[in-house]
Amino acid sequence: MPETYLTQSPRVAWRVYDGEAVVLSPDDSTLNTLNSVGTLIWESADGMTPVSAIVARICEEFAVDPERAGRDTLAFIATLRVRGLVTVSETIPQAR
Amino acid sequence: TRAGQSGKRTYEPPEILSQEVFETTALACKKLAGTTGQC
Repeated sequence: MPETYLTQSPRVAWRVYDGEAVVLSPDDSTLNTLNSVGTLIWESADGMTPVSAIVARICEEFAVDPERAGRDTLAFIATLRVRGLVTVSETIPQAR
Repeated sequence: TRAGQSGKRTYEPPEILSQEVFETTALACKKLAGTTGQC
């Protein structure tokens, strides 16, 4: 399975309050509040960190097995992608 | 919240806890920034 990279949309604004990321989607003027694991994934979505490394980071910080963490992470990424908050690439995106 | 002897935090599947829809992006931005901050 090829490695994939997650990148935050350049159109969003976000902040972390009390360990929870609050992400503003300008397309629909919606504030999305993420839980702690979601926040870790969001903060790791720098376009340089492969999804496998994000999953490994989750397993380091949280009491979860890699198989479940990987499955949940992919499902969450799909949700973020549908909402236009992230893009997914099989190569490291070129620096803007 | 720490689980067991491992010192690791309790796992909860990643999710969007809440979604707050605003009439305009400017209002959402103001909320995001808080009362004293800037967006």
